[in-house]
Amino acid sequence: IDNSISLLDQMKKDPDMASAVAAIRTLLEFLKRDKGETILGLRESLTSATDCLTGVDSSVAVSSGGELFLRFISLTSLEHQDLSRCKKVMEERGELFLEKISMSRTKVAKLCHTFIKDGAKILTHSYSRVVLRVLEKAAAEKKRFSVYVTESQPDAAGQHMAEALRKLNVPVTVVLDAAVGYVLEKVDLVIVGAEGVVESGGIINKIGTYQMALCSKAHNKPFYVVAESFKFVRLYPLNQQDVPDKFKYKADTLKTAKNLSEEHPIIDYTPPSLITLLFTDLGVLTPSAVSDELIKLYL
Amino acid sequence: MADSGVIDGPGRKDEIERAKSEGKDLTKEEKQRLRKEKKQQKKIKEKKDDKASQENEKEKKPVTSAAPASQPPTQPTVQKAPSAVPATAPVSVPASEASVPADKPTKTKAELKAERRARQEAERASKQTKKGETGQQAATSKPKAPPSDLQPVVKRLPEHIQVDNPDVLKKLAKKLERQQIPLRSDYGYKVSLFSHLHQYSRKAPLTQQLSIPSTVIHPAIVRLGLQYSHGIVAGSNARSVALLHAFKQVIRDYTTPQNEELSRDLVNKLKPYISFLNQCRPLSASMGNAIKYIKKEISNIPSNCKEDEAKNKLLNCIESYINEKIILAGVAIAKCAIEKQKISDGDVILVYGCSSLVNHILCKAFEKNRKFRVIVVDSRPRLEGKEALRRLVQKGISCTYVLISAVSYILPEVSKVFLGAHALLANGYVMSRVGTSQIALVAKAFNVPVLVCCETYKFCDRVQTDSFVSNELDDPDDLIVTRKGTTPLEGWENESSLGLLNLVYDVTPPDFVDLVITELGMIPCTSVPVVLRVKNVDQ
Repeated sequence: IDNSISLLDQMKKDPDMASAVAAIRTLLEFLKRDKGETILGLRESLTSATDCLTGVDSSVAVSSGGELFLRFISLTSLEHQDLSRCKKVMEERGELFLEKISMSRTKVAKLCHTFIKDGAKILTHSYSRVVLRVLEKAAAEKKRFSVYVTESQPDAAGQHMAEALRKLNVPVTVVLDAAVGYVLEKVDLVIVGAEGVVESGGIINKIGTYQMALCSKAHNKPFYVVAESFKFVRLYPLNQQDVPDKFKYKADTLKTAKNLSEEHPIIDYTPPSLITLLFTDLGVLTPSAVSDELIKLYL
Repeated sequence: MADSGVIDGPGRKDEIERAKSEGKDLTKEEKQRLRKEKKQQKKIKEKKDDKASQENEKEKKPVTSAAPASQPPTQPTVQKAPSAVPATAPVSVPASEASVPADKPTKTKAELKAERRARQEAERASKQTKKGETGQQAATSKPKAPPSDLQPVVKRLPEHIQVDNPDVLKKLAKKLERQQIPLRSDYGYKVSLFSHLHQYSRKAPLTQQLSIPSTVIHPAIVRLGLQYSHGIVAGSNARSVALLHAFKQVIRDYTTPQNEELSRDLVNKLKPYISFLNQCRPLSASMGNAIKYIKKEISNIPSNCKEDEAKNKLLNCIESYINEKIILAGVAIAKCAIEKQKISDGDVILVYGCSSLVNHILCKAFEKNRKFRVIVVDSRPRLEGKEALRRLVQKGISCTYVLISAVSYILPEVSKVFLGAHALLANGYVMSRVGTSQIALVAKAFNVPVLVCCETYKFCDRVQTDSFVSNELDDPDDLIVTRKGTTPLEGWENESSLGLLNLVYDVTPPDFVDLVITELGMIPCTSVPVVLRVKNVDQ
């Protein structure tokens, strides 16, 4: 299990990879090295490995990715008598799963860039690799647009996003988190990424997304979310308070903090009524269609 | 102009005959033929005026009332769509008729043009209906009969929402006579919006008109019918379970007559029972689904099966249905609600009326040592909340009791609202006790999450957007209450302009409901058709 954690750190060195993909790759390695005798034992050790990974990086995507990986590979385990044959099949399916999800960002970008018209002004929140990929694709299609990025404290990830966009020669402005309402009358559409997509069709994302969604609803601007399908998670929060604590705070904060109510949460929940459309590798979905897709994925 | 067309009817007809025989240019003849068809339609419409116009009025009303309200994205059912087609024809004709009398006083060139245009519109509309009715095999068509068959365009509407239609009543009376079941007569003045529904009085139970001994109806069913009509057995789960137990008794006492097959004869035996129960109290959606299941099971009995075996099989089927769909589903829903942290410490939960499922969930959560308190909201005339209050307080849960008029006063204290459901409709609407949609609306205004708990056997294929089309009218005398020695509403039947309305159900739109907890998991209200689809695939 220790080498899993080191593996995860290794993967993180590739900054372009989603944390969930890194987690799944780690789990696949773990599966290959596992010396268990029974299928049940294998599943248990995989579950404990996933828990361990969430202990390192407590984002929603890691837990959802882990669960989906487990489901994907275990759908075939009952057919073969021989354990080693089973394991081989599971490994193959794991590789297949990994391949599929590494293509997902490209699929999303292909779907979304058509919604960015020439001359559009886009508002986005914090640093999201999927949104970056979408904007890259739109720029490659010779579209002219300008971007407003929120600073997104406390880790100032928005600055990181602005730099990446400047490299693409896209005119970008960094705004304060508090200036979202001020800048919304100038923008045409809002695009954000998501750390997790929940059963109701709402999203869990960096803190400040809920505010942005509320303001864009008030200004009648479309609010688009781009997310890969492995981010769909079996959660159904009713309000902000209902999101489990293990997602709200960083993993190290959870371990060291004495009183969680004094800590600042790093994510918030945006209900589906504020979201116009979700772009996923399964297609362009309305928030109510997310539940349909989830039922297909998980049941 | 449409008027004048009708008036010149017979004259025109001769002209058309002449034109036809002389072979005049087609377009003019076509126009005249269309006018003739339209006249024919009108004649047929007038013939079945008492049948169709009432329905059309009723259809028009929800159609027009749905338009200003938020229109649900789903298409209306086949039932409504074909009836909307004849509805558009009369709607366009009165529209053109309405415009014409206004134009009559000043007949300038522009007015004449407008009249001609109105006439063309009417013809186009009739052309559409004619096209639809002359067997155009379009993909969207269902019953597209020739113009003389306007009747089958409307799919069979259930009898219990067509009470003001004398033809339907006659058919029902004939059917009940055939089955030897007494017909229950309506009581009291009905409010005009609901005149298409039955309204019975509890003081005149159906059983008074039954002969003793009744050979047609099994005594267990008679007892059940009385229990329904007097409200002794109330609540959709209780009614379904009582129904299934009564059917079990019926099956135990059943013997196949000579030369008959059990699978067919038993189904025929059950039909008069179901009519009888329907007369005592209209069937609920859950009971409807249970009956469908039983009928399917009975007709699936192979013909070579011995009678005892078959009866045992059926009894086991019913037993397992009750167990799986009702009891275990309740346990699963409670587990889901508690484990997924939908009831957390410090919660203030609001419940309305008495739902067996919601009470079960709260009791289970209390057993698991969750610290919460409950606010029970109640409403007249049923005052079912008192029963819920009794059950919760017995367990030791701290409760508050308010009437529905105080709901906006206590909602700022509430953290969640738990509602039960009578049925979940295919477009995501929740049908429940009257007052539920009011509570959901106020909760939405206060941003309090609303959770509906419902087993999947209550999901039905119907679609409804308002509470008028299909509802139940309870005994209006229940609204009369004696306070301080006076009974203000005592002589209400003698007041000609006074009507008492005692509705039983209402319909809540899915935008007010945040979450539906079923035994399959937690789903948003808009995913009900997905579950129905999955269930149909399973079966």
